[in-house]
Parts: sequence; C-alpha cells; structure tokens
Amino acid sequence: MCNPRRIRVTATRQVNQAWEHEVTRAVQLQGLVSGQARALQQLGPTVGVPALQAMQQLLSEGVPGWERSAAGYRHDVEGGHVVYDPAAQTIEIVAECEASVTATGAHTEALSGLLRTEASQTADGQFYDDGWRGLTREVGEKKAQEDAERKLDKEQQRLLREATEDAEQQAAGNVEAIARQEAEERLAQAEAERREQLAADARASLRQVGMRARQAFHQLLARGYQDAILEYAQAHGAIITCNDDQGDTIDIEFRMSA
Amino acid sequence: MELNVRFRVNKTTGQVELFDVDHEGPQALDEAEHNRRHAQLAAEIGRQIERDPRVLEMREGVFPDPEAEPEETVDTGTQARPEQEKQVG
Repeated sequence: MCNPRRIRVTATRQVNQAWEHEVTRAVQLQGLVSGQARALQQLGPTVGVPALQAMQQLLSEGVPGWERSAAGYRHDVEGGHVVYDPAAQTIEIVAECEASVTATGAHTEALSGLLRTEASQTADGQFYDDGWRGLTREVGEKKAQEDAERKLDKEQQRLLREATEDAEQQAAGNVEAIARQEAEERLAQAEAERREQLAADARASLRQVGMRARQAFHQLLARGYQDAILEYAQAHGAIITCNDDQGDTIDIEFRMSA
Repeated sequence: MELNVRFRVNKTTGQVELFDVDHEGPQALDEAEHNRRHAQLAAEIGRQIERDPRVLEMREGVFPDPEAEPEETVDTGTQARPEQEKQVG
C-alpha cells in the first residue's frame, strides 16, 4: 500500500439558456377625506354694542375653548366647530365628517432573456497507485469529473438566478410606477365618492352640531351680557346686590339712582 | 328716580329669562313724565345687550303679551328678538 494521490479536474460548460420571469408590484395608498355643511347666522341686528364689545374683550383676554382663527374665533364641538366673526358679527356653524380611504394598484410584467456565458468548476478525486480498494486513477478521475459537473449545475442555477434578479431590479421601478399610478387613480375615485357621502352625512348632522355650537356660543354671549350690564351699573354708581354665575343662569341685581 | 334692576340669562339657550327695571320709592314726577323717564331708563339699560329692546310695562301685576299688537303708551321691560339665520352649505 502507498500514499493516496489527488487528481484535480476542471469542468467547463458553455451556458446558453433562455429564461422567463414575472415581476409584480402592488402599491397601497391611503387618503383622508372630509365633507362639510355650513350655516351662517347674523348677530349684528340684535345684539347690543356694549355686549359685543364685552365679548370681544373677553376673547382677546382668552376664553377656554375659544381659539383665534383666520376668520375670527373658533370653538370646536363634537362633529364640527363654530366660528365667531366679530367684524362681520356672524357665527358660522360647520359640521364635519371625516374618513380614511385606501386603494390598491398592482402591475405585472413578463421578462425574458438569454443567459450566455462560460462557466468552470473544479473538483478533486483520490486514487492509489496500486488501486487499493478499487480506487484506481480512472475511478478517481471519473468521480472528480462527476463532482465538477454537479458543481457546474449549481453554478449555472446561480448565474440564472443572478440574471433574473438583475432583470427584475431594472424593471421594478417602472412596474412599481405603473402600479402606483393605478393606485392613485383608484384612490382619487374612491375619495370623490366618499367625499360626496361625507358631505351628505355632514348635512344630516348639521342640526345636532348646530345645537352644540350654539350652546358654546351662548356661554360666551351670556358672559358678554353680564360684563356689559355690570359695566353700566358700575359707571352709574349702582349698588350690586347680586352677581351670581352658577348652574345654567347668570343672575344680576343692582340698585341705582337716576 | 330709584331703580332696582333684575336680570337673568340662560347660559345654554342664550335667552334672557328676566329683565325687570322696577321703580322704587315715592314718585316725584307726574305720572306721564314718570312713565316717560322710567321707559327711557329701561331702554337705556336694555340697549346694553340688545340694539332695539322692547320695553313693556307691567299692569296689574302682569306684563302684556309681547307678540300682541303694540299700544301707543311706551311700556317697561325688555325682550330678546329671534336671531336671523341662513344655511349656506
């Protein structure tokens, strides 16, 4: 018996393989839509100037719940808000309904190509000069050749995978863009339909929102009345015997000489 | 003229529930002049909260119906007018 010998075999193959591959991309978009209904109420012809001035003074000093807005002062209520415009002497009641909308777009593109390259793989075989245990040079070379061929098969699959992945990567941007455009078109349509429905919902809720909005405004108005009357009383040297702001009402009583 | 003023407003509805301007003590002027002055002062106080307050006089312990046809005599007392509203949306 002698030492084992090693034989190295290199297998080479001309790869010439056609392939087909599908690329699919799906895009989901979400939007927020709202519908509104409005009612405008004039205050000018009815509310006294001192009361309006008192309300303006209160608002400029800060009243909880009332925030300065572009059109005047805004108070949020359940289902909407009210805006008091001191300049126009109006209150505008706005009922709002909101909802989120989603839409999906998808696109598939079929890709194809031809993988054309040369691939090589090596493998080692073992033998004994005296053919111990049947491991002759021919047997060792044949085993090495078979191993090399198997490695070539794997290498060919890897090259094919690489080629399709590259192709997918190149095509993905365009496929996604088409899917996105479809999603945007569907979203726009869904938003338009939903917006119309929400506007109808807002119109249906306007009465309830109006009640809440007027209650909020009446709180402010009542304090305006209170401040205007008290200012008059104090300016005329009156003795104020009651100035009660508890529960649902504001009560004032005073005595004056005129 | 000594006056006692009582006022009550409902904070939820915004309605003025009470707005009395009562004269107290002896009447120094003749009745017509007294009534004129009383109404004038009541209107002045009413204008603190309303542009054009209606002044009604209590007679025999009762205020007349504010929706009834107006009489020639000017009365004491105030009443809020209905607010104007239009829907725009």
